[in-house]
Amino acid sequence: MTGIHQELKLVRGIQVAPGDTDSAEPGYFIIDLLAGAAEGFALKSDVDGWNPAIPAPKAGLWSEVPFTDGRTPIASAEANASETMRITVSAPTHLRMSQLLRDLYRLIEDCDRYWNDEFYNQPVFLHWWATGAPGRQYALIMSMDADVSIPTVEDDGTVIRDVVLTIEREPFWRWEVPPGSNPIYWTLYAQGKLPGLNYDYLADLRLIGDSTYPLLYALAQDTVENKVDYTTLTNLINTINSQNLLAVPAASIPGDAPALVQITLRHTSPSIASTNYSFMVSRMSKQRTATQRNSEPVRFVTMIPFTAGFYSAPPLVLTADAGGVGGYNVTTNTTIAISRLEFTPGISMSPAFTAQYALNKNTQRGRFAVFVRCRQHNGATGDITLRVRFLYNATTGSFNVVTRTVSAVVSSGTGQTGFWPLVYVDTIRLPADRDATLSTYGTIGGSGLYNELTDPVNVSLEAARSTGVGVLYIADIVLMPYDETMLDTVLVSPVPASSDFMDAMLIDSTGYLTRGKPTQAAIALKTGLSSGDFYQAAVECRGMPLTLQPNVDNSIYVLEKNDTNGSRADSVMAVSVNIVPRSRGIRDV
Amino acid sequence: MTNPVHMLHVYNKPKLGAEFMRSYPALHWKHRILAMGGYDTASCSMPVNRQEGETIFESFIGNRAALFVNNPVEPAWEGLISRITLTLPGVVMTRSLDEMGNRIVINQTASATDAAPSVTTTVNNTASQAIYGIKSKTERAARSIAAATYASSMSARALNDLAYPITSVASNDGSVNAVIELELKGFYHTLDWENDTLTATRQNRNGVNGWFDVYLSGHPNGTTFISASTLDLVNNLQTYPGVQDGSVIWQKMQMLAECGDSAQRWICGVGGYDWNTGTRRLYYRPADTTVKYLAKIAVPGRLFSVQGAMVEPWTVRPDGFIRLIDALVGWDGDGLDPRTSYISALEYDADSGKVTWQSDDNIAIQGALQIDKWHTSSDMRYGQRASNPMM
Repeated sequence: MTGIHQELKLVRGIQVAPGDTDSAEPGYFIIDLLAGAAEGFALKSDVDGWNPAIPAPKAGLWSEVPFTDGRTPIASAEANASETMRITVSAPTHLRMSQLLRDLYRLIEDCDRYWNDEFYNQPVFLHWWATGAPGRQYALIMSMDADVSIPTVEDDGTVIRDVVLTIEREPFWRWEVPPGSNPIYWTLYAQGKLPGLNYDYLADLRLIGDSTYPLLYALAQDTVENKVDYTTLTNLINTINSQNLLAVPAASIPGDAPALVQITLRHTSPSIASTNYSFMVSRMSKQRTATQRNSEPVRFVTMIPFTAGFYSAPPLVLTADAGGVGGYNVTTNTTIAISRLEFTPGISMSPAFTAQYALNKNTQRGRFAVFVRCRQHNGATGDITLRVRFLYNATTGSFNVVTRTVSAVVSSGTGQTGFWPLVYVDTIRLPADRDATLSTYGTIGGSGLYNELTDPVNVSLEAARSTGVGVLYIADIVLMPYDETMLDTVLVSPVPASSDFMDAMLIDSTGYLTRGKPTQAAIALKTGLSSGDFYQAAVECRGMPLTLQPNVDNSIYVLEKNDTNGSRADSVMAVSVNIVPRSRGIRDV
Repeated sequence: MTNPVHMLHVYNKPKLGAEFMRSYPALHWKHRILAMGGYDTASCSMPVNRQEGETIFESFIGNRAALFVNNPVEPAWEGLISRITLTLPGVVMTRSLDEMGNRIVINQTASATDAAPSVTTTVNNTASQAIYGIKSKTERAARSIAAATYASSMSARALNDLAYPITSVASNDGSVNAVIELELKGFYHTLDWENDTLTATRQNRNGVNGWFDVYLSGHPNGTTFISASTLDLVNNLQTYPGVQDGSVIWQKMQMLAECGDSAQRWICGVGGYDWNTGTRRLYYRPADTTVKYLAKIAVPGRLFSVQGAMVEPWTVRPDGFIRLIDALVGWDGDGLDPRTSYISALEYDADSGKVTWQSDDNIAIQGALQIDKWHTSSDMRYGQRASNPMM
């Protein structure tokens, strides 16, 4: 049927991969509203039988006070879309009519069960292909109700009843990928690959591949290092020779609503047996670019080393025997000897450390969780505490001075091999004040009130040893952005035996792991099994659901860790991303 | 801005393990945090269906729970699920730890002339203790009643009633606004679960790192709720007064902290989950005298950092000073400057996105004032409870 709808169906179920004869899925149950058959369901009018609604924003949170004009929003979100659909049901007999209505009522019942029955897992959704659109789009139905008219009988004996369906569905349409299906279908569509010709449904669309990358087909995939190393420390923007991000360019994320994401992470080297890996993942909607340093605010995660190319050199060693200056408990610990080190801004042993090493308020705007990869050699746990201070300039105006005890006493190593305890210190906000940052690169011009190059935010790493002979070894400071999305995954105990160590993880907000529901879930995987099968373990996924902002360059930062031993800077990961683009209206790609 | 989704992560009961169980969106979340104590109370409802609600009702009482918002490393609040209310059409059911007691202690005097209780009868339900930890209830029987029979009968009956989470059921009119509602309490409340039995070791501990250290090392619940080996304290200046008075552990700690050090306010409590160690620690230290937040009458319910940035309300913490910057600008009155005050308590309401805070206008020696009550009940069910304002 042609008109304004090319395809329109009510569907229940999860997609079965073509050729999969062993699937446990019952397959789709479909009510085709445009079949044009003499018997069955039909949209009453192509013009106004169903008009897709655009979701309206919820009331949201507002800040309002009688003393000030107007009000300002604090938080907002989209409401579900509510629609009515007028359908004509035709049948040769009253009995057949009853059978057709039975199918419709069962669909309504199953929709209710999907949301209200803990163990019913067949989603009910709308399948729509608007005439002129590039392809199909889908929306999960939250509730459905039917108002059925009394039957009428035509001259030829056909029984007809009119049905008004009231539908509440999710606010955004999912492009190309039905609820619960593999998001790789969008990738294959976007890359113009055809089944049979370019890929095999059963052999090629596995969760974990056997090649360098976790997936054979991915929208974006790259090798990601567990560190950020620089050619020279005089320019932290342009001289990165290792990176810990996967870039997803704006052109890969169409639509007008946050895209659902499936990310697969896999430890690839060094080869460490009997080690479980988990990951932190941060998403930022702008990425570092070498040529656009100051054209607009861009942000990136930073792993601040101490010397250029330091990952091939021994780590920084703090021997806590130098006299300190300033506070840090000295006033309240008068009976306990305190040794303290405070390095020049930038935490470099070298006095040549300059302002360019420091954090940049413009290029690193955002909130960051701050970690230090460090280890204590000798002494007892608790002897050494450390803190990271962030300073407006070289020596004054400190903020965020929360201290943490270095909790692990471990033997020191050489270089950056092996696991180093990952110590969470605190969070920081850059810039520390409000966002009215003025720059020589901004509209104020060269005489701006703020010059990011001469007045940066500096970092001071400080350590104190209360007693003993402990020595602190420091690898780097890690800043993970969390103001958009940050996830911390933790393997749920008990993890499998050491022979079944988990070296990969799948984090999914597309509904692939949750049978369509837009709920984030994660599983840990063991890869590399000769059978092509895998083991999996449960994962706690802390943080907000991972989505990608459409039509914006996105960066996905990854920090690999072991929940017990810390993190190793020499790790290399393979990271793959597939998405489900979404929109409020008809898809345009 | 990405909307701040509030997710409540539920873990195993601390006595049974630390495993993650489930996570749920936390609707209508509210929490309260105190400088003296730490995470205090919280409440929320959950968008779950009836089957999931029944699972939660049956299984999650006494479980550890942590609220994560946008920082996955540091929970915004953490504690134990102390009360679960399951509402079904026509009936409301509640399970709670509040009145539970799996160790019953009956104190009585043997004769009318004894000044102190001379007979103590203790009974335990070890099966319950193995699930929920030891939660004591102390009752003082009347003086001059014949000791042994009465005490044993009374303690046995009480244990029989109270050893497991107490369930209550009521009818409702059939309306269901939320299937599951939770009330949570911070870990410092577990310090209310045990009386100070005053061992000789503890009695004689004075000075640096004295009483708190010994208490933790000998705590009947061990490291179930609070890490015993990582006491977060700075120089302990106070001397334990060495009196046996029937107060609970938390009252003693309050008493020590409220005494201060002649010059400074001190605080104690149980700190938050430490991502580095996976534990939580007792803290005992001078109160923070720095200004941590700015407030404006033009922006009620939202606080600002001292640099001027708006602070995410779920991250606001007490123990520090707050400065009101757009009222009483020319203050020149006597006494303390009302524009700057100590945050002793705060409440966060996720529905409004607002945080409210209070300072106290006395120095809060409530713990010490409770001490002069010889072997009072630690439970409202058996008489007036010591007036702990934190409960």
